Amino acid sequence: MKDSFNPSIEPPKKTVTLVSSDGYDFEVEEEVALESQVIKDGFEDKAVDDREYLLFNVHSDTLELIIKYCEKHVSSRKSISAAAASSSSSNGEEALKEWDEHFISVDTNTLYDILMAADYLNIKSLLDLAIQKVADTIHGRSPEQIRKKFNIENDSIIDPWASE
Amino acid sequence: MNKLPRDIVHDIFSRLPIRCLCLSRCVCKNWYNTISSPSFTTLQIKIASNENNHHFLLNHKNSLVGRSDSHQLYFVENDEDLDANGLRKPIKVDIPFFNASNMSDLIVMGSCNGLLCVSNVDWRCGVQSGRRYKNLSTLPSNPIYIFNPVTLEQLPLPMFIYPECMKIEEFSFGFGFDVVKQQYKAVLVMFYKYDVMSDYVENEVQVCTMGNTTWSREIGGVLDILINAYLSLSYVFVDGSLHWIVMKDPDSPTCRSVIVSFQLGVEEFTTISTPKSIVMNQEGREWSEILGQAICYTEEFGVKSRSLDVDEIHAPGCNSIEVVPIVASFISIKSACGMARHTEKLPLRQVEVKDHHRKFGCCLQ
Repeated sequence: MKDSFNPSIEPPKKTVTLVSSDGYDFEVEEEVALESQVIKDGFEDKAVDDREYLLFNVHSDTLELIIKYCEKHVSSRKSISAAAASSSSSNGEEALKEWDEHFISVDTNTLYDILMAADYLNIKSLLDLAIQKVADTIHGRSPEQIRKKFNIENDSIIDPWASE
Repeated sequence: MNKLPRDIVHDIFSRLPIRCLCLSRCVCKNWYNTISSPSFTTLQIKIASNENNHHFLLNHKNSLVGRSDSHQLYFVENDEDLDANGLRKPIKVDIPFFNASNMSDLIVMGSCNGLLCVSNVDWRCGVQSGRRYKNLSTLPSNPIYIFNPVTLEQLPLPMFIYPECMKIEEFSFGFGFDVVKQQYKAVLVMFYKYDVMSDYVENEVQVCTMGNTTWSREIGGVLDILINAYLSLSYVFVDGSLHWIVMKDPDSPTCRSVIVSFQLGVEEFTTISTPKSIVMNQEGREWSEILGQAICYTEEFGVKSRSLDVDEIHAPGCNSIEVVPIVASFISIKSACGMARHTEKLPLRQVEVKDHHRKFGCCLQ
């Protein structure tokens, strides 16, 4: 067991290729790709040399962000469990939360893209993060502010102040 | 946002506090349609039934304002932010079809899935009952309304039928949801005399299914003991049935409480007897124990009971709160045991209100 910490003995990392809708290849570590439930399902049945995924619905800009998120979460999980195993105190979870908060602070269109991609790839924690972000954005804003923020045309049939 | 899948949009909206959600309906037609859609409502009910974070309404009998003795509803939302004192401000609910006056009062006939069934009672048409634990002996005014206290949407029910009688003895009511047929039903039970001098009391039950244009009416089908229902303690809607607490043999020392239930699906009455006889005290304050027992009984239905937490309630401008009987949330509620209408006034110190709840009331899931 002790030897496994020695990087020279570690087996070469298996990788998966993700292809974005605009044709860019992204080579990522297997465990990073497996953050997506869609990729995870049926992953074992796929031949090792055929581990390439065409993601027709995800643009390279978004895919880059998604991979960044998954990589961060895989590595954080490792360091958190390592800290727990050696019973040393760590604020890993809090740091990750902060990182998430920073990660999701993007403009509305990017947020939508992340939402759609997280839904398509079925990455639960990211989907949850993005949905909460949209809800938080709506919360506390007036209808007019919401329209501006989300770029929505005002075709409302009811007067917001009628019931006030 | 309109290009997002429906499930995601629903998920986003379901995380918003209720008043924020109401306001969001005004953003655009698409949002309005989504938030008002039956599928979103169903989701909200499902979510709310899995959480303990209930919003509720205070039915506050305000006898301080003028001479009118009428009730006023306040809405308290659990996921709104606290103010500087760590309290949540109840919002007054204006009921568009109800005009308070000296001679009429608002009655909440039931609540289910966040909707209220409400009406006026006009005291001028009633004949006051001699029994001290009954305080409603006139029928509610037509029409009875289904009312959403958050969106202020209202739906008048068709006119129920006034029986051709000389004197209304008692009436009871209830409002619930039949899960099997997915229908809301309002129930009105009445006892009356054709002849004031006679001892004969006729009964009838009228049921209105929301969406129908008439009330169905059955004369003589009501269990006689329901005449002794604790109207003032309201009713409880649990598990597809309405339940009333009823005193059996109220005038004898062996008086005990029984639960009469009315199953909304098949529209039939049954009784559930209670394990222990309770001697009823002449004084109203002893009701608490009766209701306390009733809460225990609910365990026998396999229903979880939970006490209301009203720590955060604070009604501005009033120094006493008398009644806190209905539990409601936007689209989701469970039902709740009512509280005695004429218990002694409690000062609005949070702790005491809380104790009051612990003693009297309990939310039935």
